[in-house]
Amino acid sequence: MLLGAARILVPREQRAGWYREWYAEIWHWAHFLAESGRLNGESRMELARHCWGAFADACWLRFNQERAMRVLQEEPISARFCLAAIFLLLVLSFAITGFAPTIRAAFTPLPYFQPERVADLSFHGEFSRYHEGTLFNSVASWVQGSRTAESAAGYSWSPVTLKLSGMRSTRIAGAHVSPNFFEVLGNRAFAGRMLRRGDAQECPSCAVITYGIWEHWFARDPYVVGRTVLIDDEPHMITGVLPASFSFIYPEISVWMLPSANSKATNFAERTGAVLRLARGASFRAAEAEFRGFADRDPSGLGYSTPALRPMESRTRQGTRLYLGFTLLSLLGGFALARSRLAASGTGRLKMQWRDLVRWWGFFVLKSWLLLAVCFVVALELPARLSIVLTGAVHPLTGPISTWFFLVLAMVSIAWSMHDQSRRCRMCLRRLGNEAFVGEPGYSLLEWWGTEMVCADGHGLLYIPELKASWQECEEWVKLDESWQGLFTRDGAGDKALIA
Amino acid sequence: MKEPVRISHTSALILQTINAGFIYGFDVMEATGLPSGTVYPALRRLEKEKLIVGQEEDARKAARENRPARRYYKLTTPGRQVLAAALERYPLLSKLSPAEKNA
Repeated sequence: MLLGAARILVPREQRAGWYREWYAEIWHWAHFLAESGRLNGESRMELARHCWGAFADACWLRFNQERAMRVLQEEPISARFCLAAIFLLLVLSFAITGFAPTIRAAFTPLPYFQPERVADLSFHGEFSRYHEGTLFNSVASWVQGSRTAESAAGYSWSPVTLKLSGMRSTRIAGAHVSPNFFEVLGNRAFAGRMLRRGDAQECPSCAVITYGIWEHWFARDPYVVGRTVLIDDEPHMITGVLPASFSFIYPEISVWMLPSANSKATNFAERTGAVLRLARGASFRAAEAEFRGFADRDPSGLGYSTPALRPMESRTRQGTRLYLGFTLLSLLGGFALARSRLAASGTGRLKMQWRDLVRWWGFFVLKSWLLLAVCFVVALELPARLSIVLTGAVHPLTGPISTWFFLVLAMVSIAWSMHDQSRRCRMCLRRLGNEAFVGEPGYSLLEWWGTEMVCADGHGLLYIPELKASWQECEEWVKLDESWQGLFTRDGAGDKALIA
Repeated sequence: MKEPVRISHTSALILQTINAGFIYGFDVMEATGLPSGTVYPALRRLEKEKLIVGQEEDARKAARENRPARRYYKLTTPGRQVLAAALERYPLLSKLSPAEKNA
């Protein structure tokens, strides 16, 4: 059976002879073992292992090893291979991160009822802290007399400890919300029900969990509704599971619950806010002005910070847009740096044809853009994905980790892209080879004077000084004219080689 | 001037083994201890380099003995020269190589 499978790999013209040889060898080996009384389980296994070698043999015949080695040595130096490899990396990073759900969410409509009418009210006060109860009551009293807001609900999130009976505890982000929070957004539960008006009296310990928590911690238990979990050592009953498509400004929030009636908890201004649904015909600007007026008059103490009201769509997507902005900025920065660096190495003085110039910079921009796209996807998605896989929730530190990860990856990518570009032929974009040291090692610094690399097609030569002693000592591209072509020949395989 | 063929230690060992009379692939495997995934591709390469030549034995003779015909290998003249050079290059190879099969 193994031979039959391996046979398919062998080129058709060699297949019959190949199979005859292998079949005869195995036949003789098996008969030899049987006749000598050594055919047992162990020797059968050994024979089967030998049969696996048929695949290696068949592969050798199918994929001419020498040609494959030559392609492997030759291809990575071409610009096309470089772009294809980075593109493959991008596709892989998409696949590994579950096809970039965060980025996709930024380009799909928000999962709310009439999302264009939903806004986020945030408070900006450095080191300011609010009593949760004050915030929720103020928002509720504002809405009662408001002409611009139809309904509003406060939220306040912070890291909490989640514990299930018989399992280890974990740190996740939990939010205290007004009972009508999900009514304002207009979401329906995937299982069970959402929090609702009246729960403050009827079910003060009710909690709603995200799809990820249900999937990871409850192993998709269909009877999860009604189960009890400990959140910060207080028992809470699960009343519902959010749909997988649900998203909010803070993707870290994994559990939603009501504030306790006697809560004295305070929270940072940056972690608190309110969602509101505008009245029909009301504008965001009018609602913001109205709330500011209310906050100035409010005796409960909301007046010492500046409330800002922004459409929910804009708030939810600002993170992704910020990353996109940084990506574009990195690309422009890399372009400017590469231009100044390559201008210093003599490339700028080259009289390149318009087509070559476009190809040269087009390759650099495309390569850098693809690399930054990989950084963008990996940094934005991987920490959250890993956190979900490991804990079932987006860890509160995921945001800062993503930001730093992106900055480091973007810097490394742009630096590599510039280095790679400077080591390519200015004419054909192939990686320069035939590296040779020039001069002789110095007595004091024990280094060569420099390194010379040459284009295999004989377009030019790059001199790289080992020590940049002055402004004169920089990488220098020397274009080789037609008189040098005699040093380069074309071998049988069609590849040029330096014979000097 | 054509550059002399340089072969790896494994290829030299296989050449030496065939020269010692282990002419079938499975014989080479048993004598050298190398796996089939190494021996057969090496045999293909050596045959391509014309250092060995593979031939199928007489099919009629095999049929008379109720067994499939086997393919055997023997060294060519360049193969013997390369082996001699390899034995100089790898002096310990002769100690590793099996004794002649029919000795």
